[in-house]
This record gives sequence, structure tokens and C-alpha cells, in this order.
Amino acid sequence: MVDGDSSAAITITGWEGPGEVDKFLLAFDEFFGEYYPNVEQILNTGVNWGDYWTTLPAQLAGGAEIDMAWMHDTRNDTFAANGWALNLDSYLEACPIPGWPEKFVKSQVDAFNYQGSQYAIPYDLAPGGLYVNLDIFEEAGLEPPGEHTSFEEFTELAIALTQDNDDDGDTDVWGISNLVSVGRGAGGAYWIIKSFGGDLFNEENTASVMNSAETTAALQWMADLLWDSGAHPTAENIAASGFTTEFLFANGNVAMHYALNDAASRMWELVGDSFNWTVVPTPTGPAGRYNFIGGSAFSIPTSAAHPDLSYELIRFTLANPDHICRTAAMGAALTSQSDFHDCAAPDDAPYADAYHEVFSVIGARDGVHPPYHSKYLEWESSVWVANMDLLWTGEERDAAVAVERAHEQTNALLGG
Amino acid sequence: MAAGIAKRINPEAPKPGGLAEVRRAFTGLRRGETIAGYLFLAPNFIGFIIFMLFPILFAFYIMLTDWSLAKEPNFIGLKNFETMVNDRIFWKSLVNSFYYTFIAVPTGIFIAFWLALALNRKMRGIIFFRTVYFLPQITLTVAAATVWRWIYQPEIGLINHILELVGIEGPKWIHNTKWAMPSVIIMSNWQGIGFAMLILLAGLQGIPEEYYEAASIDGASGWQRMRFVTLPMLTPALFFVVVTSLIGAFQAFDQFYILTEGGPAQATTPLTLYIFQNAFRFFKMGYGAALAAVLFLIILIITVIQWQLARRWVIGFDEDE
Amino acid sequence: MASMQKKKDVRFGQKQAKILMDLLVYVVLSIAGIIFILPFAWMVANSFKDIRGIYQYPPTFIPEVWQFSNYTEAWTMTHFDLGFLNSALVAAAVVLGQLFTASLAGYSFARLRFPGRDKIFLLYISLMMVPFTVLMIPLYVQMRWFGWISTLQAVIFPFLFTPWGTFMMRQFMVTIPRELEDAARIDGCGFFRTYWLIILPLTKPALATLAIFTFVNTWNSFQWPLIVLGKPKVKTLPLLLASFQNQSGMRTPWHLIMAAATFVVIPVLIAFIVGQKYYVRGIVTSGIKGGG
Repeated sequence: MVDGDSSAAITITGWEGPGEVDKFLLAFDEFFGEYYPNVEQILNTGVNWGDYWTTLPAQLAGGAEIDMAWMHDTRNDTFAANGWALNLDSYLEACPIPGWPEKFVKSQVDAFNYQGSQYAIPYDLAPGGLYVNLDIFEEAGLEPPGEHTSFEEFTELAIALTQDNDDDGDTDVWGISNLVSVGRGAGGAYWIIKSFGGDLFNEENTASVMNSAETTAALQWMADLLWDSGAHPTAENIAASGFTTEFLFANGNVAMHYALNDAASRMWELVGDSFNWTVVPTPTGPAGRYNFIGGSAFSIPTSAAHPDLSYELIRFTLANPDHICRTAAMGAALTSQSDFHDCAAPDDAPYADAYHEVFSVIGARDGVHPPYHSKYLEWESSVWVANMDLLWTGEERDAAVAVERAHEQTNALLGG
Repeated sequence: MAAGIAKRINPEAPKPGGLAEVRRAFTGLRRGETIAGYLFLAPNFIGFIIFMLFPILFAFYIMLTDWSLAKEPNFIGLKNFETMVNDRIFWKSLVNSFYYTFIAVPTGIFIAFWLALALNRKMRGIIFFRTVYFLPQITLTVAAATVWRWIYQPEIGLINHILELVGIEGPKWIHNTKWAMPSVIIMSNWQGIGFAMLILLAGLQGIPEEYYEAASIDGASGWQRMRFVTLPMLTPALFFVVVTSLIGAFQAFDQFYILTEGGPAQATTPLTLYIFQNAFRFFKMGYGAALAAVLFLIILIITVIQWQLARRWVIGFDEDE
Repeated sequence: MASMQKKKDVRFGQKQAKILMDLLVYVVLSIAGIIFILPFAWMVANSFKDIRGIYQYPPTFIPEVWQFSNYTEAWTMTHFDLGFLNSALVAAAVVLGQLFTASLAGYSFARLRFPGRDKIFLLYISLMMVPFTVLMIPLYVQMRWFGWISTLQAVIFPFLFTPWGTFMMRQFMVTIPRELEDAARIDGCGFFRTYWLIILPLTKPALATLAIFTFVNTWNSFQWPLIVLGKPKVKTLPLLLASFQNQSGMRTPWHLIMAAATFVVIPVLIAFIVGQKYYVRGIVTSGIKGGG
């Protein structure tokens, strides 16, 4: 342990930038101000997402001493397997974080557990849901979907909501957006595949089970939204709007927009008073209800010069109820500790009640993490994107063809 | 006339020599020149030893291992190169690299050449125009990519809009595997042309006025001056642009990353992007280094071939050591 | 005398042709220029919009609400003052260093005769062909040995030497008439004095080009500085600019990024325009003919 009056320097790196990282920095400042006034914080935050995952491995491979690093569920297993992340079991045993693990959302604890050991402490969870424009629904005389809406009913709704107001042949309002996109990884499709009863890999992640009728049906459903019913904007439709689909929704050009919970506060800012909106759960499939869930965590690299101090810092940040609540409130985030979920949506937010129900009750309950094994990222880039993009560009209309090719390539990759 | 000018620049073209020549270089009159020659190279050479030698040797060692960036690398001989033979994406990205390079470089240089000629004129506001063509270099990449996505938009985009005016139905550009690469090529020429133009412009400015005057006195027409003064005198700069553009095109990365991220369906994944993915996304640094070695070898062979061809068309090459 | 007369006639006949040609060039350059200026103009236009204006659909080019405060807000959001200082220091050092080493070696490769010259040259420029992706980590390790992590040395010293620039200087120096050099040598100039007094002044356009290139590349340099410059105090401008982005694109303050990108680019624009001053035809003629 570092003495209270010792003058060390602690290096912290993360992908969140100004505006997003501030809530954590407040806690860090309090911690050091109170207990270690002479320790200097070297903050290398705001390394944006894509670059972070190049920079951090390069630095670790080059032998950099980093004391604390932001970690993501997509990368946890790889970092643990590579020996870059410190096994935190002994810390959790010697000096447990209050409420660990029973007060933490189980899916998040598991997401950072590799072969029975904890390699990072989750600080949030990010389930997926639907942002719906209530005005568009009202005009169309339709009810927004709910927890028990089936995928077929959902498609019908989306088609019914898609409008060409001025009959110029161009869609003015899309039924649903942001479910499908070129270059998008498998994470956004996994919950749909599970809902249809399909899967990607076998239990051990050593072979593909993609060629099932269920997985094929799920992917066909996604492709049809784009190219059959035209209820979902294609990549070129989105390009026409200038930016991404969030802004199509904020402008009132989308009836239902798929996004994670943390989009809520920003959406509130963007939409303002221009229309009424709320959040609803994603549909239920023939095999049950699943939704996407992701999450981030704090980890300690094995190269840390002051791992004990880092653990204390993480513990402090996740132990103080005031901090946790503040963390949730800034940016509409759901904390990994379920007791503080009410802090995420301010009472005066138009979506406050729905937010709680959709994300922290249903979303946390049915959340399913894609199987991020250590070959996942390579698989996603060289197999998934390589084949599924053809469905999303409309060059291949039959999901079975894309799936069959992906199936073979997956087996070649995982077997080899 | 071209030969005459070349001769003027290098009045004595010494014959290549053997060992006796080398011996002579270190003794007598040429001794000073030899020593100066090496001394002038010293800063670069020392810099290279200090900063590049270790990384390069390291990269060459790593390509023979299974290094994952973490853990100790295991020596596996040439296994990485065997893996490549059956690596579908390696071949695809290799084809993409060649496709990109051999379309982007000739078209880019052709346009840059005419642009440089136009911008070499003595006209009012010429600096403004030079700056305009240089702007893509300093435009925020996000802004560039956003505007280009809009330009390429199939229905309301600028290009297809213009094509529609002349009755052509435009393609889907970046939203299609066949047209994604041409889209990247156009955007990357847009971005890079300012640099090629600048070098050629400097080359044009470096041509002594005297040669033009001499040509005028001899009664040369505008075309003849172009043919016998401008072109030959520009060959060293042109050669430089050709060689470095080819090297640069094989190493191109940002253009792909910005506009298409290598997609759709890897239609615009060049070898460089695949090397990067292997090294930092798949954590197969050993394999990435082996791929890099292949890329290095390809560029080297192409450069050496150009070197041999250069003797036929570039002035300043008939001079030997 | 007769030839002078002839020259005049030719020039007179060409006058109208030149005006016509100028007009044509203006028109072509202006039309093609639109697409070159458009993304830049879009960046500047967006730097004055509020966040809603940026996301407006359908998009408009001219801001509906002019929000000049973007500039002050972006400036104070992070240490741009330090960033400018760091970037300027790095760019100045790298530009000066490269101009010196590249012109020196370029002269040697272009003009001096010594054994192995062209082979060394090819070997040297082959360094350009190694993808930086595979050099990053070993270079980082080396910077650690030197104790240069998170110092500006790490983004200056490895880049003071340039095969690319050397190649370029060589190509420009081979076009300089040998008579000039020989005259200087006869006057008793050593090789360094010849290089310094004769060659360098004659390669001004090339030096200006290399300076512009190096300046722009160093100013925009991102990947390596990102890895090696971890401490906030040493970060260069592109790193600060990138730090505005958040994991979710939706939470990124694009209007502030556009404003910051606009003020970050101003020094480059100035450097480019100043560099143009050196794009003047060499003074070769008077040198050779002794005023004739």
C-alpha cells in the first residue's frame, strides 16, 4: 500500500472524454484530496473509442506502467487471456466492495469474469430499447409496442408507420431505425438471433451453429426490414440525412429508434419540446425475450506500478452512495449496482418512469451478452462483417446464402 | 534538344568503374569528394541507427514468431508465410491494394500534372487557387468524410445528381461492394492531389528561365517548349512523384479507415488495414509483421523496377557513381 | 538583335492567346475548386452552428443561428494554449531538422561521387516501405529506454530524418546546372560552402515544398503522438481535438469540434501561404551568364 503522505504518480487511461469522464473525475479528486494529497493523477482520458483499443495494447506491449484502465465487456476475455489485466479476486476477498457481488447486476459481474476470476469491476450496464415518437403513433392511430409484442407484429407496426407524406417516392418517416447497419458487429444482432432461438457458436466457442433455421430466420427478418418492407432506412438513406439516425429520430423522421439507455438524456436535449416521446422494450421472439446488454468497467493492468492504490480508488468510486447516484445522473447511465437505478432518470424527465421499467427492470433482466471469446473480434471482422454486409447493402437478399458461407468460415477460423 | 539539355546539366557523364574506381575514390583528387559525400549523409545515417535500426530488426524477428503483443513470442520459422497461402482475406486485401494503387496513382498524377501546369501560370489570385487545391490536406477528416458521404449519396448526392442531368443512372458508390473502391480512389485523389501538385509545381518553378529563352530564340512553339524543355526538366520531380505515390498508395490507410472502414464486406480493405487489424484488433502481431514483410517486398520490387526504367526517361540518372 | 526582334513578335502574338487561356484556366480551376473547398467550407460553417443546427434535417449549409461562442467554449474546454505551444515546438523542430538533414543528404546523393552511392540511396529510401504499424511498439520500447515517454523528444527526434525528403531534395538538386557548382569550386569553395551558398538558394521552391509537407504532416500527426504522449501537458493539437469525441457519436459536441478544428488549421494555412513566397523561379540565369 502507498502511504497517505507518499508522493507517487498514478496513471489512469480511458476512452471517455470531456463531458462524459467528469463524473468519475469528481470522485477521483475527492479520493486523492482526502486520502493521498501528494499523489499526482496522470489522466490520459479522452482517447476516443477506436484509438483507445490500439493505444492501450501498444502501450502495454511496450511495457508502459498504467495503473488503471477503462475496460469493456467486448475486450475483457482477450485482455485477461493475454495476461494484461490483473486478477482482482484476492483484492475482492481482502477488501470487498460494499455489496459485491449480490448488489451488482449479475450479467455485468459475469461479463468481466474470465475462467472463474474477476478481471474488472463493472460500473454500468447498457441495455437496448426502443425510443418511440408518440406523436407519429397517435397520428397513425396505433399503440406503441410493448414487452410482449412479437417480431411479426413489430414488422407490421413498422410498415404501417413508414410514410411518404408528399408522395414523391421518398420516405419521409421510417418505422424503425438503427437496428441494422453496414459494418456493424454481431452484438447488435445477437439478441435478435437468441429471440428467434438461434445462436452463433457452440457452448465451448469452438464451432459454428450459425446455419440453423432460427439464426437464418433472424437475419432474414433484419434484411427484410431494409429491402423488403422498406421500413428501416438503408445506409444511403442515412447518408442523405447527413449524420447518424439518432438525428433522424430527433428530427421526427423516425417512429421507433433502437438505442441504448444512455442515449436518453441526450435525446431529451435534442428533441426538446418538438414532440412527445418515450422508451419501450424491444419485441419478444418465438424463443423468449432477450435484449442487448453491454457495459464498461475499471480494470488494473498487470504492469501497474501501484495496483493497491488503483484498487482503493476503484473501491472508493463504487462504494460511496452519493458518488454512484451522481454517476448515474450525469449522462443517464445505469450503474452496475441495481440499488441506484432510480438516479439515472431525473423525475422531471418525460421518460422517467418508462426508462426505469424498460432499462433497469426488463433490460437488466433479459440482457444477453454476445459471446465475446478471445477470437471474437477477429471473427466479427473477417467472418461476420464480411458476409452480413452483403445483406445490409442488399447485394444478397437470401440470408441462408450469407449464413452458409459464414458458417463454413467460422468453423475454419475457430477450428484452425 | 532534350539530350542537349541533359548534357548541359551533366556535362561530363563519367563511366561506371570497377574496383579500381573504388580505390581511386579514396585516394588523390576524388578523396575529398568521397569523404564529403559520406559526411553529408552522416546526420541521416546516425539518426537511422539510433531510431530505426532496432524497430526494423525487431519487426523482422517478430514476423518469424507467433507474438500476440502479450506474453513471450515463440519462434515458429516461416509458418506465418504458410498461413498466408490459405488466408482468404490476405489475398482479397492484396488484390484491393493493387487495384487501389494502379488506378489511384496514374489518375492522380495525370490530374496533378495538369493542375500544376495551370497553377504555374502568372495570373492574379493564383495563390488563392493553389491554397484551394491544398485545402483537403487540412480539412478535418470527419468533415471531409461526412461531406463525401453526402456527395456519394445515390439519390440526392452531388455526383449522381450531375450524372442524372446527362441521363446516366449513377451507381450506389460506397454502399455497394463494386463501387466502394472507385469511391475511395476518387476521395483519396481529391485529398492527395494537392501534395503531388505542389511538388510538380516546385519542379516547374525550378526550371531555369534561361532554357525557355533559349528555346524561344530557337523559334520553339509553345508545344515544343513543353516537349523539349518542360517535360524533360520535370522528369526528376515526376519520377519522385511516381515512386513516392506508389509507395504511399501501397501504404494508404487513413482514406479507407475514414470513408468506408474497409467495407462493405471488405471490398475496400487493403493490405495495410489487414496488417493493422491483425496487429491491434486480432492480437496476431507476428502474422501482422509477416504481412508487412510481404508488403515491403512488393513495394521494393516495384521501386527497383522503376529504378531500372528510370534510366530511360529521367534526367540525372545517366550519371553513375 | 535579330533574335530579339523575333522574340518580341512572338510575344505580341501571344498576348491575346494568353488572356484567353487565362480565362479558360480561371473557369476550369473555379469549377473544379468547388469540390475542393466544399468540405472545408462545411467545417467552417458548422463551427458557427449550435448543436441542433448541425443535426438539422434536411441539412442547411448556412447556420440559421450563429453561435460564435463555440470558439471560446472549445478553446476553454481543454488546454489548447498548451497544445498550440507543443504543436508549434514539435513542428518547428521537425521542419528545421528535416530541411537540414534532407538537403545535406540530397546534395550528397545528387552531386557527390563516392562508392556505393546509389545502392545506399535505394537502401535508404526503402525505409519508407516498412509499414509504421509494425515499428510502433519497438519504437515505444526504445523511447522507454531513453526515458522519453510523455516528452516532446519522443515525437521530435525520431522524425528529424527523412528518406522521403532526402529523395525529394536529390531529385531537385540533379536539375541544377553543374556549371554553377563548378564555378564555385573553382573559386575555392569547399563542398559545404558550395552546398550552403550555391545549392541551397537555388532549391528554394523544393525547400519550401518540403517545409510545407513536413509542417502539415507533423501538425496533423496523430497515431504515434497518441501512443507516446500520455500526459495532458505534452499533448499536441490533434490529440486534444480527438479527445472531444465520445464513445457514442451522439454525445460528441460536433459544433465545438468544428470550431476547434478551424482554429487549429489556421497556422497551417498561414504556413502554406507564406511558403508560396518561395515559389519563385530560381535566379539561375543571371548566375550563369554573369548578368547577360
